[in-house]
Amino acid sequence: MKRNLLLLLLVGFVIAGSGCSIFDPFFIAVNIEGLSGRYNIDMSDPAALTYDESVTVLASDYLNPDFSGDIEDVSIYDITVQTEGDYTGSVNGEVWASYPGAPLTLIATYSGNWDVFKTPQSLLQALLGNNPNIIPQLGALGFLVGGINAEQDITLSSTGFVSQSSAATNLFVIVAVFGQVLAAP
Amino acid sequence: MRTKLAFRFVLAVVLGMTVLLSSTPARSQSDLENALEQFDIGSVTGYIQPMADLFGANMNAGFYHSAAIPTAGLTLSIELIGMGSLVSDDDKTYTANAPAGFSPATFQTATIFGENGTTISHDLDPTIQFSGSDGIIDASLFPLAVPQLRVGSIYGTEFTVRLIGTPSFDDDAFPSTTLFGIGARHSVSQYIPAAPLDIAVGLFYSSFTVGEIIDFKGLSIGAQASKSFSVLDLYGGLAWEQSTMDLVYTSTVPGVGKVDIELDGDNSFRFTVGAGLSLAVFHIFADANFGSITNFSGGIGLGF
Repeated sequence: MKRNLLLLLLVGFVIAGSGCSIFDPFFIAVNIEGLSGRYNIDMSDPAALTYDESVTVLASDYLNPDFSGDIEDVSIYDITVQTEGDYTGSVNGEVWASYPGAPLTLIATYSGNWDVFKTPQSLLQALLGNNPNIIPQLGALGFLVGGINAEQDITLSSTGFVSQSSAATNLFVIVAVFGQVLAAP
Repeated sequence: MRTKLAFRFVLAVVLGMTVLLSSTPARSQSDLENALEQFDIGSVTGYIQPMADLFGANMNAGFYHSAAIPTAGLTLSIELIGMGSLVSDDDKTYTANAPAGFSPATFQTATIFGENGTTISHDLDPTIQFSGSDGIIDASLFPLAVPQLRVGSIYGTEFTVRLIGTPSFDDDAFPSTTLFGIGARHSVSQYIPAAPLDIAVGLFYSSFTVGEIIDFKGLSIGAQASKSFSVLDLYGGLAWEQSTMDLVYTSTVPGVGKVDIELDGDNSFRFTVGAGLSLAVFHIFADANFGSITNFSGGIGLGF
C-alpha cells in the first residue's frame, strides 16, 4: 500500500509538473463503414434490360459504435460505382439516396462499358476531369451529409439499363459512399 | 460520460507510465486502439511519430546519476525516476495525405500532440471534404515515471532493472501496459587509479507494450563520468541510443487492411549533465539531456 501510494505521488508530481493532460473534447475522424449497395442485376430477359434496386443501410451499421459521443461534423470525400461479373455490354444508370423525412435525391449518373466499371469509377476522378464515366450532382453530397449527421438509416438506390441480355446470374452494380464522422470516443 | 472520464484519467496516468504493480491482458479493443484504427499507414505515421520520438527519449533516460561503482561489496538502491521530453511546435503538426484524387493532395493537420484537426474542402466542389483527427495529448513536456532497482557490485559491475505494469481499466477502455528495462554498468576508473573522475560504461535495454498494438523498444550504450564533492555529485555522459515503436492494427480505411509499421525514434545521441545530493541513505538527483530531443529526468532514491 505504501509502495503504491509513493508511486501514485510520484506520478502525480510528474504529470502535474509536466502540464500533461488530455484535450477536452477531442474528436477523431472516424471512417464511415459499409455505406454501400450491392445490386444483383437480372439480365436474363431481353425484353426487360432495366434495373431498379435499393439497399437500406442502418445508421447503427455505418456509424462506428466505439465512438458513441457527440458527432461534431460529417464529411463525404468520394462515391464510387463498380461492376462485378463478366458481361460484354454497357451499363447506364443513376445513384439516388433517401432517408426518413427527406426526398429521394439524385447523387450521380454513370455510363460506360461494363468492363470499365470493374475498376471502381470515382467521383473524385470525375471532378478532376479524368473520368467521363461518372457525373456527380453538385451539392447532392450535402444531402447525404445531412442524413448521416442526423444518424438516419440511408437508402441507396441505383436505377438504369444494360445494353444486352445475359444468362449470367452473378452480375452486380456496387455503389459505395466514403466519408468520415468527427466523433468523440 | 463515465467511460470518457475514465479513459482520460487512465490515459493521463498511463502516459506517466505508472502505477499499480500488476498487469492484466486486454481482452478487447481500447479507445486508443479504436482511434488508431481510423488511420491508414501514411496518416498514422505522421500522427503518432512524435510520440515515438518523445517516448523513446524518455525510455533511455534516468539510468544513472553517478559513475562511482564499487569494485566489490553489496550496493542496493531503490529509486523512483521521472523524466520528460520537451514537446516542440514541430511535434504538433504533420503533412497528411488526402484521398487519391483529392485536391489539394496534402494538408497540414494535428498530430497526437496537436490541437484541432484540419478539415479541407475539394478545390472544385467544396461540399466534398476530408478531415484530420484532433490531437489527444495536451503537453509541453511528455512525461514518464518508473521505479528502478540498482544492485551491485561484482567486479565493479552494477545491474539495473525497471519493471512496472498497469492493468486494463474500465472494461478495457484503456489497455494494459508493461514497461521492462534491464541494464548493466561497469566501472572503468577502477583500472585507472590516478583518474580524477569516476568513469563507467553502460548498456541498457527497455521495452514498453500497450495492449496488443503498440510495442516500444529502446537501447542505449554510453559512457559516464562523475565527481563527488562531499554530499554533492556532479555527473555527465555521452550515449548512443536507438528506439523503435512497432504498431500493428487493422485499419478501417477502405482497402487498407492490416497495418504493421516500425517507427524509429528521432533521438540517436545524447549529452547528459546533472547533479545529485546524497544524504545518508537518501539520494535526490536531476539531469538535462541534449540531442535531437531535449529531455529532463530526475528522481529520488533510497539505498547504500
